Amino acid sequence: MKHRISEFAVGLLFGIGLILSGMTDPGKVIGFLDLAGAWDPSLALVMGGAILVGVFAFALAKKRTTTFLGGALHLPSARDIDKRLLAGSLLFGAGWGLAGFCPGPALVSLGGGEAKAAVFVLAMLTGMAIFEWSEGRVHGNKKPHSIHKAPVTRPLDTSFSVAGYLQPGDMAAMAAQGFASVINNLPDGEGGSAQALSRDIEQAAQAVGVHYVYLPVIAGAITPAQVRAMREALNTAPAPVLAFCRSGARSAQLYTLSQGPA
Amino acid sequence: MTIDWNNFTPWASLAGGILLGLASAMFILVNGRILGISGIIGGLLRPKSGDVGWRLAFLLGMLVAPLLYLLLAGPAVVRIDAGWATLVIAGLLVGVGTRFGSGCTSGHGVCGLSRLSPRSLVATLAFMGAGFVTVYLARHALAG
Repeated sequence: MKHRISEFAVGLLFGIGLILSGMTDPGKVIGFLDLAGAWDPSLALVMGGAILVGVFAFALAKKRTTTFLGGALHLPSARDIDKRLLAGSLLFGAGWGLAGFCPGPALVSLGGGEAKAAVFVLAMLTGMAIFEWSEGRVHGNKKPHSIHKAPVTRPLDTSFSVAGYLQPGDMAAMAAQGFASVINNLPDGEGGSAQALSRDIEQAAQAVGVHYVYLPVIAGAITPAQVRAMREALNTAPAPVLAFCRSGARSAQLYTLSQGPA
Repeated sequence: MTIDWNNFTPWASLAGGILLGLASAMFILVNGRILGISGIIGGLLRPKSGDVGWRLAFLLGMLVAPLLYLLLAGPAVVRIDAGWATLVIAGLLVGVGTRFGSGCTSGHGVCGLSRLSPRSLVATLAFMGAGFVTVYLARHALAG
């Protein structure tokens, strides 16, 4: 509930900022975008003011691993600059210039009871639904290159098992087998770009209600700190636990070490 | 280029921008999320369990904002010149474009640039550029 209230408050603050800045007035937005007419540079100051504060906040966020409330920090990891990013942004810019509305201000004006903003938001939601539909079609039509077999898990104890490389798509099957937690001992990128990233596996695990821990170790170079982290993870993670690396050998070794004298 | 000094609102726009920056700062540091409106709305169209409440709470805050502004400062100026057909076309373009481009003015323009992300810089230059060109075409080149 604490979270919901703070999210509501941030939405309120953001909405007030949009109104005060002039962003919710399409006439003003178009005045800013109209370089050839009488140009109103105000909105450059909106972005300037926001970034002035934002730069410090994100520099701090990058140094932290959790939020002030101890929750997960979701920083974007996408870095690719591709046609999709460019084409999408160009379409968005054209729509922004046509009506003077971008998503946030349109939503705020809808809240203010503007009928025209309501029509814009409805069309925008339709556009977003078209995107979802086209994404579903692309992924739905893709035939799998090979039939991925359910990974084999090997029990080492009543509440601990190991497995070879697991992918995000395996998490549902692991949840169905009854595992409450998954520990990933495989460093991101070890198997090249074909290997799934920890954050994707984490997302898939959380989606099916499986606790997830990322504890990457290098084969033959397990450190005492990693053994301690493994012991800690086993003490706190809900059982039964499944750990995996490339073959399962590293996870098994780490488990054995973690059960030895502290 | 001539500057429209009559409509220039440097202090209100700067103060509003600082509020946007503060909201974005709180959202990442307290709630752990990027404040990007198109992404927050878009995520509701493919809902995942445990991933809906925060979006709704935030969006509700935005919807209530005009009411609070009205009480504190009086009615805000909203001049919507676009006709109904233009609004529908513009809305569709903004909806499709922001999702394919993974962000809008808030996610790329404010948060992305604050993170010094090259990807967001390219996106911001692209949508600002397209905005400038569209307004030029609509107001000058193609205007009768």
